[in-house]
Amino acid sequence: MEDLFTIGNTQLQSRLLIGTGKFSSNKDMPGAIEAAAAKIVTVALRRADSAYEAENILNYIPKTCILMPNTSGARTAEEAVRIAHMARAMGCGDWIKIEVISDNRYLLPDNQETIKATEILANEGFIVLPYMSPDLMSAKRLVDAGAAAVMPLGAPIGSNRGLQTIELLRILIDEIDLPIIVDAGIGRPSEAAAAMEMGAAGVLVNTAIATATDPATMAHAFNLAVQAGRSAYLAGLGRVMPSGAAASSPLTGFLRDGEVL
Amino acid sequence: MSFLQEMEKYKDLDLPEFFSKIKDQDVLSALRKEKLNCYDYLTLLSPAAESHLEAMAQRARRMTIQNFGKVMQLFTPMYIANYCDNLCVYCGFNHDNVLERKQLTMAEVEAEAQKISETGLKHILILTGESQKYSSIEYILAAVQILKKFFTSISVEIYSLTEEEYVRAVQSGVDGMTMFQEVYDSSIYKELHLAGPKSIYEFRLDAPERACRAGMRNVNIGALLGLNDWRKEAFFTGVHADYLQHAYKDVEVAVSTPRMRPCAAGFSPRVIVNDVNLVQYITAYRIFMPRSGITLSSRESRMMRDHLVKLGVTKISGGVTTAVGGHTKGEDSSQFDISDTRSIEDMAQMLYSEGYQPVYKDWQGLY
Amino acid sequence: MEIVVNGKENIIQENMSLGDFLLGKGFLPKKVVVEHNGTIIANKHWYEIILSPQDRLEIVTFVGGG
Repeated sequence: MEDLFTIGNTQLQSRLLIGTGKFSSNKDMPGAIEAAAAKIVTVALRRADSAYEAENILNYIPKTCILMPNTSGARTAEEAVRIAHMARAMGCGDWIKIEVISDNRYLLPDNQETIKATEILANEGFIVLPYMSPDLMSAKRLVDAGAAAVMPLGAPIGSNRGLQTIELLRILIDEIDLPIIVDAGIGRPSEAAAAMEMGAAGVLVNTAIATATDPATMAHAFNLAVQAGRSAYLAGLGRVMPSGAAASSPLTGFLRDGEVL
Repeated sequence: MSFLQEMEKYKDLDLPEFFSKIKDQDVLSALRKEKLNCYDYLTLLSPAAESHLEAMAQRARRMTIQNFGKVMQLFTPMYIANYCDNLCVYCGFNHDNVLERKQLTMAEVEAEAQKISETGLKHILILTGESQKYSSIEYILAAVQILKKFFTSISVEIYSLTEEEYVRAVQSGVDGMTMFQEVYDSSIYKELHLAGPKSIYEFRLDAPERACRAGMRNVNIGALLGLNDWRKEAFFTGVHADYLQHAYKDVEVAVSTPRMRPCAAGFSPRVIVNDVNLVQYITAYRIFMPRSGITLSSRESRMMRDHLVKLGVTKISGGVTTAVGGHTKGEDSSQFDISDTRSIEDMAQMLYSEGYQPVYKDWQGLY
Repeated sequence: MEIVVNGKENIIQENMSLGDFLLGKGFLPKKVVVEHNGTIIANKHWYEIILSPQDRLEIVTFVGGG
């Protein structure tokens, strides 16, 4: 049976999503994206004060990729919706990553505003991928609001601290019937593999690749890690409990002693 | 999506073939997993897992204590009417069976409730047969109003209702329902339920889900062991419970594991389910569904119940009579013979001696 | 006259169209999205809007982001 990765109505060949922020130079992007074999690439929207600034990052992103603008900068659902509209007006498609953050210390997302924005934008036909803090009830509301996937964080943006929220991620993967894409905090390929082994549908990596000494090689490493993790998951990894639990007196002795019907 | 569609996924499941491939290692592997999927559960239900029963019991006990504490909910069933339009061959109340048919008046309901509440119990389960004339929803909800004077948690084990009727029940103060599918195998179901509204398999199968959608807080399901291959029935009970819990995250899903007893209709079990089988079922289910309730009725013997309280059970009955009005009157209209006749007081004593706290009240509805 | 572009004051000629203003600054239609007083203006309508004093423009483009 084929292992298909589907978001909305789109089938994707890659479970590694890549961000384009923090690269030391736009010129590093094409190599990294290609090495990552990523299909979904995120971008942000910012004011262009001059034509030079609107140099167009799109020149550095392969045409075969799906562009996913994020609503970074938004602190409320209203702002996120406004940014989404502007992003759509660029004419590159309907995908949107909702990022609503009013915490400038850790950049933690505001689940409540994210849910509001998801509902509005999903109703307008956007393919919505909300970035959120892993909380089961919020994730459930995002499903009800029409999200196409749910993107819980592993650790704060840019922290490269791995799957700090692992218990909660596991619960979301088990309980939410949409693709769970771990987004933020993944600092090493092994952490991406770990997320995939748990059953995540995909991961989004930005800082770890963009700020690596050699972004293209790092991107390739992540590519392999995501594939490895996914294969391991499909091969039937189970979570194993620590053995050696203290055995007290036998509980089923009565079945042997007594009369068995 | 309904449970019927969920069950379709398993239509090609060949249990003998699955079981024949299970090795010791597979059982140990499932036993050590933190979160089991349904095939792991089926592995623990396999014949191969029987030799690991002690390990299963140890894990089941640990998980039950971790999730519920050393605590046991007590309840007693109250039969208020035994008229029945159904022809279920295994049941003492079936339409063609000759026994005294009774329907309690509201005054009698009150008297029965008064007697039961003297035990200190605040949780009650009321049962009726299926009769539009003698146990209509209006009759049942009228009884519920009386019961609200004595009990803070009222569950019903009655015939399948529509979603709208479950909504009415919830609004009237019913917080739980018990609905045994009896047998998940649809062909065997049809052989055993010859006539009456209960003969419609799909309507019954969907009843727990309708109750969930209606806002019922507690939903208790189960198969009647002895009607069909118990491993298959245990499997589908688990799949059903998992399905309901996943789709309705706020509902408290529980199962019962009733084993056939001699009854007034004289029906003998088609399949013998022995004590080892029952322990395997209960412990496997607990490992598969760590937070689900497991209710034990008085069909089981004293000896079995005393041991099972330590192996995964969370709710147990006492002071049981399956006769209509049996708490205040005589025993002449029973659904089945009970095995453990101990009173609520006796059960409480037993629990204390096993290091468990008996719970008389766990819920207070705010109406 | 004065208009506000990306939060900053800009002095421009009277009766200038949005299209003229943008192209005059070198902005190409496919590379930016423009909001005029809170409303997104599609490329094809850029020349239909004549700018008035205190009009607010937001000119945005895609940049790198995660």
